[in-house]
Amino acid sequence: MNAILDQLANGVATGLVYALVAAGLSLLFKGLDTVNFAHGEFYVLGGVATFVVSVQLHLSPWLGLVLAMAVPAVIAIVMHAVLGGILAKNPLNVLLATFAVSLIVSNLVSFAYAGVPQPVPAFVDGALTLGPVVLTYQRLIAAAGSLVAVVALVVWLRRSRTGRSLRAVADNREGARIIGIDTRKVDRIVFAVSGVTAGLAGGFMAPVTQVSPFAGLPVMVTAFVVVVIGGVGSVVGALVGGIVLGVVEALTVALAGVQWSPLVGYVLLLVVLLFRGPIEQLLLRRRRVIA
Amino acid sequence: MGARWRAGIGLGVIAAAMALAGCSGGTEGAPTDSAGTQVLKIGFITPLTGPSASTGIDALDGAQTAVDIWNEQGLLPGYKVELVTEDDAGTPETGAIAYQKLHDQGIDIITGTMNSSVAIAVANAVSADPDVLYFISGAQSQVPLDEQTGDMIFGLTHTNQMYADANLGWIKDVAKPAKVAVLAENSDFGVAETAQIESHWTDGQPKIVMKETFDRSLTDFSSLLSKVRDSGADGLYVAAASTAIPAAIFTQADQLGLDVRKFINAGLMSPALVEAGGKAVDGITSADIYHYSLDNPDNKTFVDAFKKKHDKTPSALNSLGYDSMGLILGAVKEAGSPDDTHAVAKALRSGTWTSTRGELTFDDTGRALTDTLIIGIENGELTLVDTVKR
Repeated sequence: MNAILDQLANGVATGLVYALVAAGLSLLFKGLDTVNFAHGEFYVLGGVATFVVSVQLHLSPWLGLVLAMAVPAVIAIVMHAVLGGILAKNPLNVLLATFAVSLIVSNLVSFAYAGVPQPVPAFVDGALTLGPVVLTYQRLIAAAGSLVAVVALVVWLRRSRTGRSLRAVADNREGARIIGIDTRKVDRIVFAVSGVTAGLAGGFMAPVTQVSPFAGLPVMVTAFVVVVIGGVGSVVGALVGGIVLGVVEALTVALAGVQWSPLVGYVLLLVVLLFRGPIEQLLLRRRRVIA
Repeated sequence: MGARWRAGIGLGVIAAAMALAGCSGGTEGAPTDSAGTQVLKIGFITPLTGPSASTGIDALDGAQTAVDIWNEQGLLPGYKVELVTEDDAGTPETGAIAYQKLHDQGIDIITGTMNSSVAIAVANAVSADPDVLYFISGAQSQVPLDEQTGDMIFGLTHTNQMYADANLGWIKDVAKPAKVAVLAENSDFGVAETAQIESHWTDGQPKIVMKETFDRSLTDFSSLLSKVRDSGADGLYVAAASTAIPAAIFTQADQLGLDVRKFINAGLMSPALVEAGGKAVDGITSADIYHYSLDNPDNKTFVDAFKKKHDKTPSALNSLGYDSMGLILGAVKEAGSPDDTHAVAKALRSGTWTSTRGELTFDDTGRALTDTLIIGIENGELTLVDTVKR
């Protein structure tokens, strides 16, 4: 029982970080009807930023988090500017272009660090012990920070003018344009916010997992699974989906072994895809939501 | 001394010089330099590019150190040794091409090779040329030695089996953890390591309380390490092919406050592991074949020369390159000439040699036999913990 409690705590902590990464991806998909294959690399860049600031420049790692958000956001805006024309002409080309960006970034990071994962010191050393549950302070910071960021994103989407514009564009792009909403500006903001969420998650997790140039693809796949579980376009859904996936993975490790843990996530993905539609038709009114 | 006797000596010297000039140095009609010394070319196949480049360059640095010493001190009278290097890029195809390039130049003594797949490919190519002596420096595979039809192929480093016997035996008999959790990467390597562990620790000493195989792309080991803690293990054995994985695991274990003895498979104890893991890798032990502090004359000469040239202490990979050249040239000297490579091979097999690792002999297959070292990490330094006698 103690082991299960410990793993539950692990799962929730991990799931909250998953949620932060997935929230940005979900937002992008719903707002622009596109998938950014470089989303995982934004996570890596967030980690690199934290590494550069705390290890190479010997500055506070909290400052690294600022850079962890800023660098991916800037790159995302540049990507949007470059891809904007392609998006208008052929959405498939956007997928291919973001995939190319993903490869470019991961290879550049790999080249910069000779393909070797880089260790980053924890923001705060030590672990919190509550009965059978032991969580490092770094994981607690990552989990709490991710929760705050996701909640802030939900509030921003629901309450702010820009958030309402974003939801309008997602609902009806042409209609939003007609009433005077600058859709290109909204798209730019969506790209930037997606970069911020992934970069922040990467910055939080860098001291836990080290900064690896090859972490982007696994993170991208996990985020995709969370998006599907939680519902495409729903940030609240990403939060729920992230926690569900994190807990399921942790309990699988505890009860069956780590080698089954990735498989369980994909099985959950299939189950959700197969049964969500019929359940929604039976029980819920279909509604397109952002948050 | 009479004039006839001096003339006799003079003629004898001329005759000896002519006889030496007739030695091909591994090639027919071997070149001589301006001083009339013959150039003995030794082929060195090693990865200079690709993922294994760092191991190949390290071995080459060691080999060149040996060549410089032999040339500067004139240890092989009448010969100047020259390394002819070819890049195998860590791939079997390029390795086979590299061998062919050397063989086309008439070079019949080949060494180097750090990857097992490359060694197997080169050994296959060598098998068509019965006069070629192939001395494998760093590749661990026993296949080229077991499958040779002549006695012309040698292996310098330990095999995986030799490392496992020493490392796992030491953990069982000396370190004596009561309960060990085993975490292995999901690869052929990890599976083989797990099998070795299970075959060595059969009587419950130590008891394997947990055995998990993880995907190599896994970076967050928190759930796995929580499980290790819950298993009650007092030892944690990590089997991986690269230093990044044990560095990440032990870093996260440290963050969790996991208090366990730390063990890893052989081949990873290096400055790269210390750099990747920091304080978290202090206390790790594993098996290796070399440490710069080994107290023997060969190693002292090597360490002094290497430090002078490279401004750092040598590693196991450097020593493999150095000893490869030292043993080959020692055997050439013993045989009297590099021309008869079979005589050189016979000298290698039958001799008891000194090396940077201490006393060294070759078994019936051509595998070098030396003691195995248990290396630890203490305060960020690689230290010699113990010796497992061969």
